[in-house]
Amino acid sequence: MDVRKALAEKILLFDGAMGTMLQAAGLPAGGLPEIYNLTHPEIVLGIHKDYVAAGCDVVTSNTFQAGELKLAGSGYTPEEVIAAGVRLAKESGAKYTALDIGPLGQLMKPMGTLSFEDAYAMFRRQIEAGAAAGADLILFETMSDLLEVKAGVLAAKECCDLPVFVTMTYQQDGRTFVGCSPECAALTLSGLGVNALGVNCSLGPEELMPVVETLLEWSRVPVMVQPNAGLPKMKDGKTVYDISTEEFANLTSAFAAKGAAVLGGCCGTTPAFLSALRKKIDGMDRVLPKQKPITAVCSGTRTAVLDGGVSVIGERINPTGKKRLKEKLREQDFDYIAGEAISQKQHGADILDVNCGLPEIDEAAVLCRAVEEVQAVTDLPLQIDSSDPEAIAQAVRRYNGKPIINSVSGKAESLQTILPIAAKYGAMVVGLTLDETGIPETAEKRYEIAQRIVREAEKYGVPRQDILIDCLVLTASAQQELVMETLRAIQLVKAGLGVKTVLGVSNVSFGLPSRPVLNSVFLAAGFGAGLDAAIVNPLSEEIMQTVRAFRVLNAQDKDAAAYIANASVEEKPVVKAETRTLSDSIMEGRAEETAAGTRKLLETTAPMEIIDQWFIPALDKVGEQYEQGQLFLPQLIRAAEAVKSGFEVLRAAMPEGGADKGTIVVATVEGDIHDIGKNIAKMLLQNYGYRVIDLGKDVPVEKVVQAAMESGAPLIGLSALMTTTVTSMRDTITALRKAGCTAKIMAGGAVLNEEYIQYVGADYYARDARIGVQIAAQVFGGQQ
Amino acid sequence: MDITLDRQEILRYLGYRGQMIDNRTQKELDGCMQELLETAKPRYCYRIFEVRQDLEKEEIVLPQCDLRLLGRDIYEHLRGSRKCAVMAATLGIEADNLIRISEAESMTRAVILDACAADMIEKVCDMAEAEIGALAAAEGCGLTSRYSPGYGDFPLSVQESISRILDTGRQIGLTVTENQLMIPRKSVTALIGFSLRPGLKKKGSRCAVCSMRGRCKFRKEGTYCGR
Repeated sequence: MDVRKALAEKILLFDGAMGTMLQAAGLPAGGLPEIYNLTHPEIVLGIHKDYVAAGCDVVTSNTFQAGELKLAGSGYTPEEVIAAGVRLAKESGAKYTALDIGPLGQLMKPMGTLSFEDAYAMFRRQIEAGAAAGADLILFETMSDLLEVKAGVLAAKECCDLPVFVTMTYQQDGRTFVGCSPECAALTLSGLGVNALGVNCSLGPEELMPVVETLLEWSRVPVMVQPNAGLPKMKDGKTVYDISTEEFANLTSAFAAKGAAVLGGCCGTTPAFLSALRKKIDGMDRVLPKQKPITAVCSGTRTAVLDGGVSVIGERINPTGKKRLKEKLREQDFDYIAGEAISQKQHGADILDVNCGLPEIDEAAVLCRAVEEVQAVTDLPLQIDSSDPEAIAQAVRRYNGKPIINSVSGKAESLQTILPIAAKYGAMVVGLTLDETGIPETAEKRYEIAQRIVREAEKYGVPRQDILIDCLVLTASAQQELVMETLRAIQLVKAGLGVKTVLGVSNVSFGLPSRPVLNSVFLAAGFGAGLDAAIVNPLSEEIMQTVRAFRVLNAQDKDAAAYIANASVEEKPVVKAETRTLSDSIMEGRAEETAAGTRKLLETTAPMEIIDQWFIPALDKVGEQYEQGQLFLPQLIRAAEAVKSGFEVLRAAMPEGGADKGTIVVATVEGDIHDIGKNIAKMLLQNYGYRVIDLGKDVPVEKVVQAAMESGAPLIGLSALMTTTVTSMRDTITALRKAGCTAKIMAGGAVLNEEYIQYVGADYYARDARIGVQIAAQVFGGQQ
Repeated sequence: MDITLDRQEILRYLGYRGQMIDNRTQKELDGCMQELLETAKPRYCYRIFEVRQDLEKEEIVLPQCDLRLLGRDIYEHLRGSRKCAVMAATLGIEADNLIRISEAESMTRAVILDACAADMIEKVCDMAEAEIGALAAAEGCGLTSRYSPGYGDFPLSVQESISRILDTGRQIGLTVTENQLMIPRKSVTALIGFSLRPGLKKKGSRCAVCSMRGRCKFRKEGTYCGR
């Protein structure tokens, strides 16, 4: 019987621990169990056979750590270890052999240094070896990071047709080590089309019950559970597990009674545990979990549910009509976008739209980077917005979680290109009620398009609960009599198709005064008509007041708690910029006051003059006080931040590049991710009017060389924190010189000293950010 | 875990030398301490191994986990010990995330949080050490001080072996990159000897063996970093 068929019909029993058994057979602490496939095959085979004799249907190959990172230095390749491991598992006579794959051993960006592409390639290597050796299915287990799993699942689906099972490991707080919740895992992995998903390791069966219950509610595929033999406890410096085989069997079989389809054991379990469990589940029927449809999206760590209330999708990361954002996108400066993401979250957005559509850029590359940067600073789920299907496909692929795609329309070409992407990656999709003939005037015609979108989507395998229909707003100033048609269309769609709806609201007021009033009244009307999610500006007070008020009226905000809490913080401190000079504001590090003071000064003073006469003298003074020990670090940085907000005011008033005193490239070198020092230096240099191209952290040598040569920057700043990455700094400088780069190079970072500066070949030692500014003055002063 | 942060230590990490601390900085510091304590997910793990001396090469060997410790300094540190604990501690990826997101919002807060985290990870290590101390005491031993890869001539490259021996990825979510960087960043690995004569653990005694020796800003000012 094919394992897919078996999974649909009965409770499938996996085996128990391998590591526990190997340690009992003499494997030393820290030894790689996988090497035993080649050095002690008889021991591994014996354990597999014991599990088969205990009644397990599936035996898991001894290949948990057989990836190239974990095997590095062992003298063995993944191919050798996996071929031997799968062969031993098959030799045991088990009905099915699972190719076992654990975490790669390093964390993905932005937390760590591993890229999505590298993770994909490593997993693919393991999977190809396992499939060639004859595995019947692939099991990813003990996973923590959803994005890492996603790379693995895609690798599996793209290089073989074996079924894929995934279990993640949750701690006692119900989250994985990187914060993934069972809801996020179930949503994302169900969407990716795995054959079973679940939980293993970390805890015993008793502690796992809440996690399993959540999985049973949220998963759209069979649920799998492999608990430890109880909660691990430390005893005399050793880990012990303390429940009996009977307890284990009773508690674990209870999962099947609730609807779990696949059981097994993890750390501390032995054939005796599995044998007891086999006896318990024999005669038990497969139970289907009770479920209701859920419409939700997620990031790697946070879920946004669209059932049972209204949601806010932040619209601000979209360059249409935004000069500053366009500039930043062209410069590939993502700090601005990160800032927009954070402020929208602070103002109450539930989901963020990300659009990077500009004609003159590589949209796919920029959109992918923007999604990565936004995910690095906020846990909100994202709506990936583009008219370029390739950009959508690439961004959705690398996205951590289950995103929304914005958008598909009723046009045949759109349906054919976008729906397969949504189906493959399990994304939710916004369907616009327009087609080749444009936006129909009547609600009925828009309903017809919505109906077509839903029908086509289901054909491609996108379920109804993953569709959001946008009935499209027309401008009141141009087509006034059609505005209410949109609301009628919402009602028709909700009643007739049972899907959720979304609407970009702001268009309604285009060309009219007092737009926030029109927008918020229309928004309220939309909510009244049954609108589920609004794409709006969360920084608009009127809009958010409307949202908060509606959430009281529709009983979403229980006891009006959020509404009341918000009302009580509304009185804001009054800024009295008049009585104090700009210097005072800067030196005391008051950002809002500095911005206000700058704005006022700008009425009478030229921007460059403000920089030279106000910003720099104040910063110099703060710097001196810092050096003399009158101020300490947080106070210095706060002053720098005040100037930063003053600069924002100036930039809006100046032509592009108007304040640049020269260009400096900065980077934290390859292999190093400690970049806080570099970021402080960058802010201070910007404060002094330099244009800083920040390449980020863990920057490959070639990328530094490329940026240095392309920009022609006369000064380059490199940082490294570890003795191990100082070498990488030297490699970078050597490569720069080899490429003919004549720029001066300053180096900084905790481990550096004058001696190291010589070793790496830098021109200057930037002991701290202040010294960096002095070096820049020297380099750029000498030029003029 | 019940952890109390040490305000003076945090100020010291921030380069505080008796300056006037304005109210706002005070409040921000309080807020950061609180937020880190609420956000971080401190975890630690350790194992105890027998210590053997390779008298010929003057190196320490831990036969039970097949580990040879390179360097003169760790030899001096553990030569009087019969056993040693290999430990790892972390504040979890949540602390990294908090600091990274703060950088995009307010660098001031990020810098303060970073200092708070430096203190907090020491406190987590102290808790692990207290547990290990109880095990040592039961065998009639005291503890040597904690000794970490990168101190003195004890190479950072042992980081990877420690991670593997303790299975830190699975136990506490700690990984090590090819460059021996620990992620989560706010993490510590260390060895502690079980010694019949642990000697005096006086303040500052670790400076002599610190990898920052010779370029430490605290030492230049006649103090020490507190570790």
